[in-house]
Amino acid sequence: MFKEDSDEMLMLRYQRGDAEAFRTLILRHRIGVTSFAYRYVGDSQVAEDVFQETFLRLIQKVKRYKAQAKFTTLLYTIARNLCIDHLRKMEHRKHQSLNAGGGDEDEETDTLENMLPGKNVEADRSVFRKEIQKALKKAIDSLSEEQREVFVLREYQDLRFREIAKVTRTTTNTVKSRMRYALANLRKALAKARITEEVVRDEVL
Amino acid sequence: MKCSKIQDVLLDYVYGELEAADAVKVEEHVRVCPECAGALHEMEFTSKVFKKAESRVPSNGAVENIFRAASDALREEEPAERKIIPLFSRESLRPLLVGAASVLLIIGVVMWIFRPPAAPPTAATDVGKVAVQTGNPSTESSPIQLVGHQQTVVDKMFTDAEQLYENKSYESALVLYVTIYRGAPDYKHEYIKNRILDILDRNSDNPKAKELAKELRGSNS
Repeated sequence: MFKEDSDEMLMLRYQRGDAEAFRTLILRHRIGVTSFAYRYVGDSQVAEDVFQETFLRLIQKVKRYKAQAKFTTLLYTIARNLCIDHLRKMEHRKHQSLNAGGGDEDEETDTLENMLPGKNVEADRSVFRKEIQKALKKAIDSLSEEQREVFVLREYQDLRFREIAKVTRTTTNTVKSRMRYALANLRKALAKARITEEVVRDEVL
Repeated sequence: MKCSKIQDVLLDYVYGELEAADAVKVEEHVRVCPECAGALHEMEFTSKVFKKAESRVPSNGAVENIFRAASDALREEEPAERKIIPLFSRESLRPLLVGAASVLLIIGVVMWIFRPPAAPPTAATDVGKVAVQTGNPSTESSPIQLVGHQQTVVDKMFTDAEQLYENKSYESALVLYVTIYRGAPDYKHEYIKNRILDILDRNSDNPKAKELAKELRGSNS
């Protein structure tokens, strides 16, 4: 039913005492989960915490794991709940203290390399690329939470619409509707940031 | 296919979730319908651009932390534990606890567990068996020193109880807390007592629960 090296098989192998199988799972999904959390909460450090906590919870659940549900559905359900918890906590804190100085923590200060005056085309390109990346992040951040989670799970995590419905506890139709809105909003954001087809064609992002 | 029908499935088409036969229909349609072709193009373009958004790689430290925890979890698992643990799994408790009867049953269990040590052990429930396994039937009323795998069993029960509590399955949690409280009195005694009281207080509209809470508060350890 499952391929030898499928996520589900690896999970069952870990269940039977094979720690290396679990390492493979961690390595396979580390970028996926961390990036998902990063796009969800918009902060690199929190994203790493979510990544760790997601897998730690998975370890706790491993004994009860039955390979009926798709592994990634379980994985992203846990990760999503952790992201939501974090956002709720932040919201709560925001209400408590209004001295929030400064905006996005995650707008990384440019590296030394990037701050050097553009001596060559490569450097210019790098700055330009950074600008585009910033615009993309801003656009994703500007989506509503409902649209954002659906968009991120479909676009980057490659979950199918009905799997996303399971993760977000809603119907497939609702998921698709949110996805349509998300794409439409993101399309507008691209236009606003003047990221046109020409720009994308010329740029290797 | 009509335009409206095409627009309905465009999203599935873009993300490769459409059956091959339907996908062919979409492709045929957009070749002759500029409006639908435009809509498709917008979606594909947006998807393509955002695909390029940066991803994040966690530190090696984080990966190693998880791996260590995963290896530790395997080591902690003793074969002796396996036989008993399923009794505490939520799945096995749930059927026991559904419906209106559950509250009565729990109160019964609680009362059975709280009965004076001298009373004959008549009620043979699953929970009763558990308590017996955790403790020692012949010296049930004397404090039990936990050794080896018994300790991990209680740990496990405690973790399960906490999880049930967190999930607001208070009645199921109560069974486990009471079993630990009674069977392993040395184990986080005050903490568990407070948990039991907390759950009983949540059900203080039930006179029996109220009574039990009062009794428990009175019997200072």
